[in-house]
Amino acid sequence: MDAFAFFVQQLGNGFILGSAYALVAIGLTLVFGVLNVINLAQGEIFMVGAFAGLACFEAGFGVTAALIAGAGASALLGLLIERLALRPLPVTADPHIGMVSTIGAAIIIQQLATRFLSARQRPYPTPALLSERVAIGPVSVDLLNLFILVLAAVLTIGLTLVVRHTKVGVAIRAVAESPRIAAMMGINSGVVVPIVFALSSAMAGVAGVLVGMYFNNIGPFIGIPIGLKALAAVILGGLGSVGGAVAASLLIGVAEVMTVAYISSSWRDAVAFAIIIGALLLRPTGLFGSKAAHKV
Amino acid sequence: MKTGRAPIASAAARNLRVARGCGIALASLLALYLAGLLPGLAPSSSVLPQLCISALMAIAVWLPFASGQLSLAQGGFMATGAYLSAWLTVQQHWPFAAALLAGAGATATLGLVVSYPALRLRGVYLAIATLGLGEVIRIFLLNLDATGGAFGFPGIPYHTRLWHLLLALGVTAGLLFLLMRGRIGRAVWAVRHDEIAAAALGIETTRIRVLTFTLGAFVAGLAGGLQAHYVRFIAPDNYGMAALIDWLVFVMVGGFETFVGAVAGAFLLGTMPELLRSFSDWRPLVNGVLLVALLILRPRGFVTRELLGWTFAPRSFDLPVSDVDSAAPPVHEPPSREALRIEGVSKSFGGVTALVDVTMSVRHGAIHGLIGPNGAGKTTLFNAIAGFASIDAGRIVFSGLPIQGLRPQQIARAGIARTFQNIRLYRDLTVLENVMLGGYVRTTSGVVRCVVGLDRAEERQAAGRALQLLRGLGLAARARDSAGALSYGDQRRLEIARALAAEPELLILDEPVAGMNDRERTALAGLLRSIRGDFGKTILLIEHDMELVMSLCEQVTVLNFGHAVASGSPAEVQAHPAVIEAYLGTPSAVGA
Repeated sequence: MDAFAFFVQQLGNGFILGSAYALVAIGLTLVFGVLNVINLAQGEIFMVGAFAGLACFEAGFGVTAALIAGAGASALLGLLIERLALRPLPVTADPHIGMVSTIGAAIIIQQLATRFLSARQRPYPTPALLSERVAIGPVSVDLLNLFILVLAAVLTIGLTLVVRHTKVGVAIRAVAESPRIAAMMGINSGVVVPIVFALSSAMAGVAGVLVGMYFNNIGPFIGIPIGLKALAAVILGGLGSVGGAVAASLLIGVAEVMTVAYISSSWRDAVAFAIIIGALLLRPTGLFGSKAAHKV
Repeated sequence: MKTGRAPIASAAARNLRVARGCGIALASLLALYLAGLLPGLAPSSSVLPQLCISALMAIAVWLPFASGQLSLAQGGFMATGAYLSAWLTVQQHWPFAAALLAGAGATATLGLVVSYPALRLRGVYLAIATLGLGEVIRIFLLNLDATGGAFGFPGIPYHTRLWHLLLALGVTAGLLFLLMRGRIGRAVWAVRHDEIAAAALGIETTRIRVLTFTLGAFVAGLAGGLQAHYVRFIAPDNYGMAALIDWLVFVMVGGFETFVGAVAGAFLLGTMPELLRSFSDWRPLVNGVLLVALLILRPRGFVTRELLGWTFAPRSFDLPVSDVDSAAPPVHEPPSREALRIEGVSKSFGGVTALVDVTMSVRHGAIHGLIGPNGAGKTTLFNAIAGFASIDAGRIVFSGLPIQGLRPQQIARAGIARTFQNIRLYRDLTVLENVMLGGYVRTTSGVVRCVVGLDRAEERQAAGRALQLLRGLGLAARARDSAGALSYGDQRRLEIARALAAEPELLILDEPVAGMNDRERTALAGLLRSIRGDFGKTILLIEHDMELVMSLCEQVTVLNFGHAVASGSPAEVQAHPAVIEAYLGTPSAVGA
């Protein structure tokens, strides 16, 4: 393989990794939008989605069922986290408290997963249908890779349309703008917030199944690195911005893959974080973030 | 009201007593256990040293957090101190104490360097950038062959004895107690809870943030050096996410209002795994459940300032000897002297012009009103005077000094104090503490004076002056209540008291009677007259209440669409055609 084809191949791999990050990151940014809380259990929601998909495969179901099961299980878990770890906190609590509470939730989920799902890494099947290779120009790729890219794009665009054009979407944006004013307009944030959690978690669950099929291997702690990268992407993209989260996810995915390909795998995480530090110093609220204005 | 308050107060007092009882019981049990006096539960010899290291790291996380900066680079800072001091003792054969201090000093320097760019970042953005920094440091060490890379750094001599750790923790805690009980502690609290109000009070917010960040790095470096020479083998993965989460949890559960909470969290939660040894499999799960439950039950953490009975005010006061002294009898200046002159000031935000060539003059000793319809640019002009907004053109001259372009802190120091349209008090601090914060620019105790205890005399005087001021404003009876518990009108008065504590020449008040009822409004008007009369201040105020403005002010300036359309006595202004137009519209507009 010549150098150029190798580069294109790596670029493709970067986009696949990046689109998985994006599915997890979009949820983080939406939840932050309505609740001002960084949900550090998002990686664990992803992990549970992957395990739910695995259970489906092991029971003999196909890809579609696995994806639905992953989305469903994750959505349920997201609702539980919202109900048990965030809603009981008093509204006057320091904004960092919610974040730390989700750390607690993450620890609990990891522990329950090691106990009841699997303490070790588990092999993850790729359905035969998706294992076929297709050639695009000089590069040949697994159908799975295309499937991941397309599904991630469809879900992202679909979610954007929902947020922009549906009644639920308007309610979500209203609560994100100001829960108080939204409440005065008759929007119940007690309903909107769970909806956002369910949607966000379902996307992470789908990502879990996709990443499982891609790496053919999952374990109870796979959520940690993915959650961290998604978090980095959300910060880099600017909290609350869906487009920013997606762009930053792709950037981080590509940067990571390129570091492994051209420098050394031991520096892969350092490069992602170095980009974030650099970008934040240039734009302190992220690449697509808006400057918060104070009325003094 | 009165009948309702008593039971609530006693319920709060009972809760406090219960919490204190629990705290004392837990602390005693812990002490007995650690001393090996609980039968059948002797701790292993490594428990106390590990707890001390955890407590130091919890303090290292708490320090920047105290000024509102959640730094997740503390693992990286600890690693820096550990690796550097170990390298110095192992490969450079330095004595332990020198290596330890060099490691901590170098880490503090790194913290200092990092703290300046970190000033640009807020909240989660700062948290993630520092998390990234910590990871970069860790990955750098993983790839550093000189210290064993991922295989770890073996063969570090055993130097750290228990007494070293106890001494380090004791000295750190003692110094922090001295540093945080007075003027610096109040400033740190102020920066964390409202940076804008802190800047208006003249607090050097940058210096406070850099100070706490650097101190946090120092303590982390110190803890790292001590830990390296205790465990004798270190590897980069000791300083990763898992450890970081532990420290964060110690601080949040223990209580983040004081460093005591961080230490208490480290000792209580750090002991739990030992006690749960027989269920060691379930330990992380129990920790997670405990964390969420404790956050819900006590969202400020277990040890609060209330629980400790700590305030940022001294226990005894030095009241000013005579009223004449502090109340500064009105200096009879020639009435024509200008306190403030605004010359040709313009300001636009993007395409929106907020101020166009505004010129006005405030006489010394006057009560000057600034009025105008909503959006006329009044608050923008205030922000420009107080240093919160830059101006595009023009000059602002205060007592003969050009002040445009100065920072809010410099302007506060120069003698201008302000209040805010939407009250910006420190709600969780007491009334007295709020007023003492107002006196920040009139006191001088810095870090060194605080730490050696030389700030006490000044603190007592400052508290005395604050109390005196509260008496003058009729708030003395509420001095020990938290500011958030005051009525709306009292909060407005407290904000004025806080501004007066800075002993300013010019007081600028943004809508002081907004939202007040008639009685409160009349009382405030009287108060403002007496502030001008008894304290000899000049007052510039924005107000929509025309009745008040017309009866209170000698001079009124009217802004409309960013232009100063009229200026003069209330009667002159009321008769001015441009003013009538601004408020009522033009006759042709009405006709059309």
